[in-house]
Amino acid sequence: MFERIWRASIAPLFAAFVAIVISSIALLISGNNPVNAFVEMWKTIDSTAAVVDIINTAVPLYISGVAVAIGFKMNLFNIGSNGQYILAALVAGWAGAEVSLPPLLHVPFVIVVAMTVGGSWALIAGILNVTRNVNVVVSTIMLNYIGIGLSAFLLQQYFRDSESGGLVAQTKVMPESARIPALDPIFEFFGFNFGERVDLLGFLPIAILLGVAYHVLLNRSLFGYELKLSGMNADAAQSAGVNPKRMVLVTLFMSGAVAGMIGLPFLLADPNFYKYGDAFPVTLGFTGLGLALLGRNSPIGVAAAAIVWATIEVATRRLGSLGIPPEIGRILQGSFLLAAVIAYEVVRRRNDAAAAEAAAVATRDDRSPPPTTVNAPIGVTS
Amino acid sequence: MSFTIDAQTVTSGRPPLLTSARWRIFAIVMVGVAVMSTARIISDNGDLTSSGTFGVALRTAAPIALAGLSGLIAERSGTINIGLEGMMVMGTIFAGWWGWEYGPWMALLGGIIGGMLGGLLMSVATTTFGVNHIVAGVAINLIAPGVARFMASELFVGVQGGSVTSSPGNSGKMGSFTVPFLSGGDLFGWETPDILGWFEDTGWFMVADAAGFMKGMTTAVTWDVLLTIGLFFGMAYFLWHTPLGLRLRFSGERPSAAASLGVSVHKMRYIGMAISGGLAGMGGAVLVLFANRYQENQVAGRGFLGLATMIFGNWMPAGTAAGAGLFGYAQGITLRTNPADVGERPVPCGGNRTRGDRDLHGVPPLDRRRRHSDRVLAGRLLGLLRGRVAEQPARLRHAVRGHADRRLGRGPTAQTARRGRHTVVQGDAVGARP
Repeated sequence: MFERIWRASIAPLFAAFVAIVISSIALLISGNNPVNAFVEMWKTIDSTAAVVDIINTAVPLYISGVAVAIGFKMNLFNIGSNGQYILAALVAGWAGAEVSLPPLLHVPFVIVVAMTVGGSWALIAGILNVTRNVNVVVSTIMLNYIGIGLSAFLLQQYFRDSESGGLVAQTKVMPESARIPALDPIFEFFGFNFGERVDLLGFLPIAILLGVAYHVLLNRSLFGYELKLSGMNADAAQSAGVNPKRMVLVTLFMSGAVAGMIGLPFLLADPNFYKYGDAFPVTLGFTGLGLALLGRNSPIGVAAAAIVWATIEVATRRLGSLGIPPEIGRILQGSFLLAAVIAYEVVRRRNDAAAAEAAAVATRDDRSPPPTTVNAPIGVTS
Repeated sequence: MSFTIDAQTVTSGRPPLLTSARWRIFAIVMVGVAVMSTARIISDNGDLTSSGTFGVALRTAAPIALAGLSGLIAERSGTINIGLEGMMVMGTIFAGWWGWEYGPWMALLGGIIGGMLGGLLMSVATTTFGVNHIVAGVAINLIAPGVARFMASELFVGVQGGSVTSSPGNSGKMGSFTVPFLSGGDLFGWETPDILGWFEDTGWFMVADAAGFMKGMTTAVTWDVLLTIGLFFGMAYFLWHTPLGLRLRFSGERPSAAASLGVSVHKMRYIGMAISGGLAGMGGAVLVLFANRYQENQVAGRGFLGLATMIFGNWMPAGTAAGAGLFGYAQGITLRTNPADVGERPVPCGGNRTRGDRDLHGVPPLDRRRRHSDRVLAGRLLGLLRGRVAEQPARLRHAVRGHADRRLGRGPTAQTARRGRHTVVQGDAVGARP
């Protein structure tokens, strides 16, 4: 058990080391003291409020990572989660504000709308792929632009809240029944008090449920087995009776459906939003790509990656007031990602080589057939 | 299956005159001009085909075209360059820096160097460490905006006119060139007659529109755009008429065969990615020269558009240029009709920005591409999906024989790709064509 954890974490640890070295060099070049900067970062996150902030930041990132990871498992690169979630958030924000339902139905209604829209948008790329053989990477990338343009058009023309005045384009604010309350009361019940004005947003349980569902789907269901099989060896999967077209369609729909949920923590649970509008974050889909790569598409891994990412984001927030460029956080994140991707590949190759070596030794000794090693594709833990 | 392919290619033979490719292109161009001209007359909007529009279109097409060319070189040498968006971002920040410090020409050089750094970084990951191309590209795309922002905060903050999101502006402007006699350029200080301008002003059906196009292409073309046009010819020559170009393509088509013949595939891919990154960075520099300053998110998805134009153009320089022209025209007409919109399409790709009404402008029309998509995309994209660009024997066959390059993405490749690839292709290669 311990060895397994160690083997899984050596590459990320090495990547973190490389990232810290690279950003230290960048800080040195820019004339700052790296030690000082990292101490300040630590001070920033060393409080309950900061931890709550990190978790709140990590929730949408996590959903974004899972959305992409579903496709990655099958070597299906859904680069279009950005367009999918923006469109989904807009339509869900509009629909959620238009209907009136009891609270227990309202929230699921908004979630279902968002997932349907996101999934359908991703499905366009899937249909193009299975009918016309259009590459998924390219079509999802291009659908980003169409989706973003379409959402701007829809917001301006149809979904705009006419009562909010002329200048700001935004949807109506969600009614009370569609809002998920913060989790603070639950924690207060157990004796944890986060303090004034610190809210642990209520979407966290849904994100955790999503992670569990993803785990079950991946490791305990026939579909998950077929998904991983298709990712490891598409030809073998096909000859084993897996319908590749169906897999592409279903996987892309699921990936898009989860992507549709990326905006929901803001729509349903964040008091600063409760609506889709100008200030809505619009780059979470792209970040999710990096998180899925970092977390190697596993539910736990992506969660860890999202928390690391959010930690860096929160930690660097206050650096600007100390004269240290907060952009160092971006360098830290970026170099961590690239180093991790490379480190995973190196570790995988070493494992493969070791397995081949073991196989060679085995054949030499007793002339038994060598165990076949699967040349695992990216993100599949061997 | 291989028989079908062979039969198809054999029977095609020499097509009748009027259906040959050249005539078809000519007919398409004529119909296109007629349609545009009719649209201009009906809508009474001279800007549709004015020389000004085409001039702006050429200007906005140049960065996309460079991105497309960059993707083309990378793919020909065997790397799928999804990271070219990030390389363009690197190009913009370096160009903004050097342009501010040393002037426009150094901006161009700085952009090339910045992009090259990005390309080499990606090549370290993909070539040396064997990371999946799309994964590495995505990583580059996430890193580059961060690096750019960090550099901007170091370089431009506190300088007069500079900020984290913008450079203080280039010192000096890139010069431009107008063709004498055709478009009224100066010849040794003598102002020559503006023949095309005269035709454009007549407003004659088709003639004025063609003249507008020609005048747009020949009036006040800045040196960086001229260089871009030259690079297209240069790269086509380099790839198909020099030994290094052959080795580069060889490494992309069949790496194992190339290695067995003594070509260092790793070296070739590094060279390919260096050139690719340089071109992408130059695309960023052209953007900086156009806006006369570095601005955050200036690239705004043009790298991805470049990738699309390359696919549209069937992995050939001429087609890529045509695709970029299409995007450029769409942006040019937007710029002409909405002068306030400075060609900035806010497309989120790293960096936080808010979205406004401007989102709607400049989203290029995609319907024209659709017709090509099945034929063009099919051949390559299944390979792309599996991360296996290299193994497309049909393309190798053409490359080695050195003819019929225009068919690369079509014909056999498309067919075989659609029908389960390698096994079929091998049979095809055995029953080779005459």
